[in-house]
Amino acid sequence: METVVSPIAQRTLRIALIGNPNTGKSTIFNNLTGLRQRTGNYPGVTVSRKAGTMKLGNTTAELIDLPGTYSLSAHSPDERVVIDVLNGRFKEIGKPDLILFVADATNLRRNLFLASQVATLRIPMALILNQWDAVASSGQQIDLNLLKGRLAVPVIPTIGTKGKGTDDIKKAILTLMEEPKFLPEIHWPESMQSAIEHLKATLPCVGEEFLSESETHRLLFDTHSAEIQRLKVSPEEAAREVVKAREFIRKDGMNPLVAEAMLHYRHIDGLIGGVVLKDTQLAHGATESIDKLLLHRGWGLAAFVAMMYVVFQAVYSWAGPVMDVIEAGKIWAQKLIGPALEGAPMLQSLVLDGVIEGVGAFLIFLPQILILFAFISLLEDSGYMARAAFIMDKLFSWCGLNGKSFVPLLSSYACAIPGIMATRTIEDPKSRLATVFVAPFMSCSARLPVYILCIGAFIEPVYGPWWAGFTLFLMHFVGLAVAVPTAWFVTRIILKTKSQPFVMELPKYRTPRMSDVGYRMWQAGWEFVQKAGTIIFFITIIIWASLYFPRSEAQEKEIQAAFVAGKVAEGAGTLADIQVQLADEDSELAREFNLALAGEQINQSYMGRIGKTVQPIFEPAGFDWRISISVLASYPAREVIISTLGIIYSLGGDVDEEDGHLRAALKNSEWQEGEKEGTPIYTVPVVIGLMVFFALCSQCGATTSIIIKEAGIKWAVASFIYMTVLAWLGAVLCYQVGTHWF
Amino acid sequence: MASILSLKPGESARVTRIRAENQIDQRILSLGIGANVIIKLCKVAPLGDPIAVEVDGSQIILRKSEAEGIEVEPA
Repeated sequence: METVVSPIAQRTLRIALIGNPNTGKSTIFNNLTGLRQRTGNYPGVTVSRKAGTMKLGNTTAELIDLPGTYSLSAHSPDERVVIDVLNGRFKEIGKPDLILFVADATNLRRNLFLASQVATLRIPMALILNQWDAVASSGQQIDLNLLKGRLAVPVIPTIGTKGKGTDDIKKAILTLMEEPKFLPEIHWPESMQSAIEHLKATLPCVGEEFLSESETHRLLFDTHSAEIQRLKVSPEEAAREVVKAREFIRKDGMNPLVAEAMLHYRHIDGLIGGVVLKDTQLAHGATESIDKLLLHRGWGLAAFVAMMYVVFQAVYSWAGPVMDVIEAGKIWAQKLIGPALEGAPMLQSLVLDGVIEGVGAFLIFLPQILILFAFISLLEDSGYMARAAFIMDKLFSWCGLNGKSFVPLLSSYACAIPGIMATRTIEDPKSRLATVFVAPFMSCSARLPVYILCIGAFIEPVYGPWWAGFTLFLMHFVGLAVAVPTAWFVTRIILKTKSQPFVMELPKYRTPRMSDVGYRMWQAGWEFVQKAGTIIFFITIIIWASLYFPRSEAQEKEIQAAFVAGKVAEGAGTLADIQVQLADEDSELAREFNLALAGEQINQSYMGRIGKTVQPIFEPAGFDWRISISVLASYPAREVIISTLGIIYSLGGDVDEEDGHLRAALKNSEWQEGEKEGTPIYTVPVVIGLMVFFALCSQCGATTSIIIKEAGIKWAVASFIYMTVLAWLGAVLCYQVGTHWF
Repeated sequence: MASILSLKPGESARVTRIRAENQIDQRILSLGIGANVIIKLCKVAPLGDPIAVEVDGSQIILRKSEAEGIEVEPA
């Protein structure tokens, strides 16, 4: 590496990987970087950012994987990411020194359109012709030597899925470092040059810089260019200058909105003329026959439903045993560590109910995330995901989403965490945000215990099993019914999209590579633990503290005195009798006292106080202070309501939704004061309202933290407030309508 | 001028022009669907929309509302 020119030699070489979607770019990226990958978001936008380190001889290089795109067009800040990176507009990334352009060898002409646009940046480039093995089977022949001569840059045939060509790519990089080579640039006609010069001269950027050549093209050619936001002048003034510049092109007899594509394709046709020989009769034989079945009106739909059923079952049920193991591991750790901390009750509670519970709270999601991402990887890499989107698009297009929202939303019925992570498969950022926003409304498996408790205790005994089953079925649609108008509202009103384009390639079927599936699972799992895990952990600790504090020995003595006095008043024995029984830890009375103590400690904790303070807010929904506390305590994880109710009703925290004592306690609880005194708290309208509340509320710290990670804090806060308000409205509506009209 | 939507599945035609009014049309242009290109309507999705067209050996999904701007004549 002695020959490297000085500015590059002093720091790590930066290489950008760019190409169309579905070219096997990720596979090439995996082959070059292995597990040395990092992911995140580009600053200010929701586009995910992937980078990795690659070994290059005895040094290393930084590889930036740019989002797959068909052109450099930038109609929004999200779309602008690619051209921004290539122009070095992100300070923390820096301008790339080299470009690896990954093309699908079976579709050279279309892939070279982007390459030709990128060439205007004058960054040294190597052209990777991936899926080289598919060229022959698609009925084509490529004259590689002729192509190499015409393009003047290193051209490397690769088969990414078999790891073939990886070393050749590295060799090409080393050659480029010694002697930079560029793809032949397009020659614009004079009218175009005048238009570009006009814009360059009249429109300075913020910060006295000027737009680069490639950025000026975006301003000139794109109908609504996002480059306008970079300019110093007002959007109106910029638009006026763009119109003036386009006049040069129009006078030359060309439509300015068509000219760019037309001229680039003319340039490409000149470069690859005679290079590709085609026998179109042979083209994609296997893919066509598979599609005859999988995209068939009847069979295609049936196959789709069957496939989605398997995915859903996998996430919903197959993860179960692994989650049970994690749960058992958590309890084992608590039992193992518990006795060692017997002497320090606060530390014991912190470690058992805070730390171990907190680690368990995010580990429990891992099985579902890993399973879902294995399936997503299989669906995407095989080429079926695009077909699924094709089949489902009609159902989603009218509310501003597209067919790609289907898999994330379906998975959210099992758990919103993997579902929201799966929205990364949606390229369009606005559809993606809207999908993230509505995913938590899908009725996840953590809502089931609440439904079963409520239905089992109050619906089934009164109305019978048929209505019980029907209610459970309906509860799964409450969220969906709200999600659809919400998606419409978010896309049309908040994100102000008129209609989102849905232009996507239907790739040829391919056999997925297991190592790519592995990378995908590893990446999703590790990222979740690293980013969301820490947030979930801290939320759990905070909730633990608010349920534990304030707590003192004096307080415990007071509760004990009240308990003993109560027992004496009941006539259970003399004061001395009861105190003797309490001193024996194994006695029935001592056990009863411990449960009562736990219940009373929750009542007096900060959370309990807040619950009682906010109870008036829940009054219109018919919730008493016990329900209010349970609802609040369930914000970190909705399934917590069962154990909280158990503790509050002095039954202990290890009750489950099928527990007869808990059901009886709920049925027997009555209002103790006020105008409703003596009447049952849990009437059918209250119970339905409670279920609707749980169906709509944002009671999941893990979901909130994954939204922060995937969409940003603003969206997370909006989602939290929106869901909570809707949940309250839903519960109040059920109670008021149910109580007063029936 | 006939739009591509007037074709039956399996039929091919020659593109005469792309209306080029908005960013969707520009996206279509960048995919290599331009004047004089032979385009085939491959499939209509089971629910009636979107459609899949074939250009240059690769299939592209377009919504009907997006494909309207592609004008064709018999090849």
